Amino acid sequence: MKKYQKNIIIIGVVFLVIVGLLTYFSSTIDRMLLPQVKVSEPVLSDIEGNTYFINKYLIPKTALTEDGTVYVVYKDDFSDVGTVDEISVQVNAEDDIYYEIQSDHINISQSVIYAASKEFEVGGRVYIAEEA
Amino acid sequence: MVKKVLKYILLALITAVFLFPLLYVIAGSLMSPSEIGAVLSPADGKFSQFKLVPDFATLEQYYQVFFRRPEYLLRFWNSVIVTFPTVIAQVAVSSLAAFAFAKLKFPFRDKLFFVYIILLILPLQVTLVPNYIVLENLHLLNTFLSVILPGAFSAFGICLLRQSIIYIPDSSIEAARIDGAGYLKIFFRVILPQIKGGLITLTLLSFIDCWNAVEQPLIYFSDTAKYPLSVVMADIGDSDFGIVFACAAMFMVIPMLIYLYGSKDIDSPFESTDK
Repeated sequence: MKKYQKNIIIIGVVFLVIVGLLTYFSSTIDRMLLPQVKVSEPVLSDIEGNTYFINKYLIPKTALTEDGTVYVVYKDDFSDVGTVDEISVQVNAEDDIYYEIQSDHINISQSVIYAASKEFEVGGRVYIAEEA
Repeated sequence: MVKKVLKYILLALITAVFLFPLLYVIAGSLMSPSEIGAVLSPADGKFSQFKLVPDFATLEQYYQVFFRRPEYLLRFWNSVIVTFPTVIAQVAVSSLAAFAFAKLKFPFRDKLFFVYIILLILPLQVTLVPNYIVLENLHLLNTFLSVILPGAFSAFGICLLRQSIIYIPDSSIEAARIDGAGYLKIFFRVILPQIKGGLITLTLLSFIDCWNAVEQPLIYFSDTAKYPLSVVMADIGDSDFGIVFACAAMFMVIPMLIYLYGSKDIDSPFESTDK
C-alpha cells in the first residue's frame, strides 16, 4: 500500500470517528454551547396571596428586566431546550421576593427566566438547567 | 499553438461544468440561512440570484447538522451500515462468480452468463417488485439486510470482473495447478493480484451506486428512522436549503476519499492484461 493510500485511510477513519463522536455527543455539546437558564412558572395570585384575580401573577424579582418585560421560554417537544420570547408586563406591587405583574400574554403554563448563565437573544435557543 | 490553447480552454470549460455542483455545494454550505434564502427562492427553488462566494462565510449550517439536528448524523450512519457491507459482499461475490464464468468449465456456463447479461440490461425498477416479494417471504423487509442482500449480487460486477479475468493467460492457472494449488488458492494467489484495477473500479462504482441509493430504501424500509441520508436529503424542506448543502458536503467526503484511494487504478481496470 502506497503512502498516500495509507494517509487516505487514516483521514477516512478519523472522519468516521469524528462523525461517530458527534453523533453520540451532539445533544450534550449543543446544550453546553447554549445559554443555561433557570425558569419558574408564574404563580396565579396577587401579592397578598389572593388567587381569584385574573391576569395577576407573581414572578421572581430577578425575572423582570429594566424595560418592564420578562423573558419566557417555549420548550421544544420532549426536550430541555426552548426558544426565548419577550413579553411586556405591568408591575402592580412587590415584596422582597416577588413582583406582582399583570399581562394578557402570561399564563401559568409558561416558564419565566429568572437567571441565566450568559446573555441570550429573543428568538434564540436556551437550555433549561433548572425549573422551579 | 492556437490549437493547444483552444484545447486547454475547452478542457477548462468542461472541468468548470463538472466542478460547478461541488463548488456550489461548498459555497452554499458556508452561507448563512438568510443568505441562502435570498439566493434560492424558497417558493420554487429557482435561482433568484447567482452566487458562488458567500457574503459572510459561516459554519452555521454545519453547526445545525452536527449539533442541533443529530437525526442527519444518524441517517449518515444508516448510509454507512447499508453501503459498506453491500460493497464488500458485492466485490466478494462478483469476483468469485467472475472467476467461475471466466476460467472454470461447467455445463451451460455461457448460457448462464447470457442470462446474467440480460439481468444487466434490466432496469432496477423491474426487479424491485420481485425482490420485494422474495424479501417479504424471507421476513427481511424493514431490515438493513433487505438492501444489502439484493445489492450483493450484481450482474454488472460479474461482467466487469469477468472481462478482467478472461484475459489472464490460462498457462498461469495451469502452472499453479501443477504446483498443487486448488481453486481457492488459484483465485487468491493468481487471479486477485492481477485484477486489482477491476476490483477497485467495481468497489468505487458499487459504492457510489449504494451510497446514492434512493429507490430500494424507500421501498424496503417502512421505518423512516432506517432511511439513509440519500433518501432524507431529498425530503428536507425548502426552508432548510443550507442544511441540504451541509449534509451534501458531509455526504461526499467518503466517496471522494475512496476515489482518491483508487484513482491511480480506476482508469485502467484491465491494465495488467492489456499490456
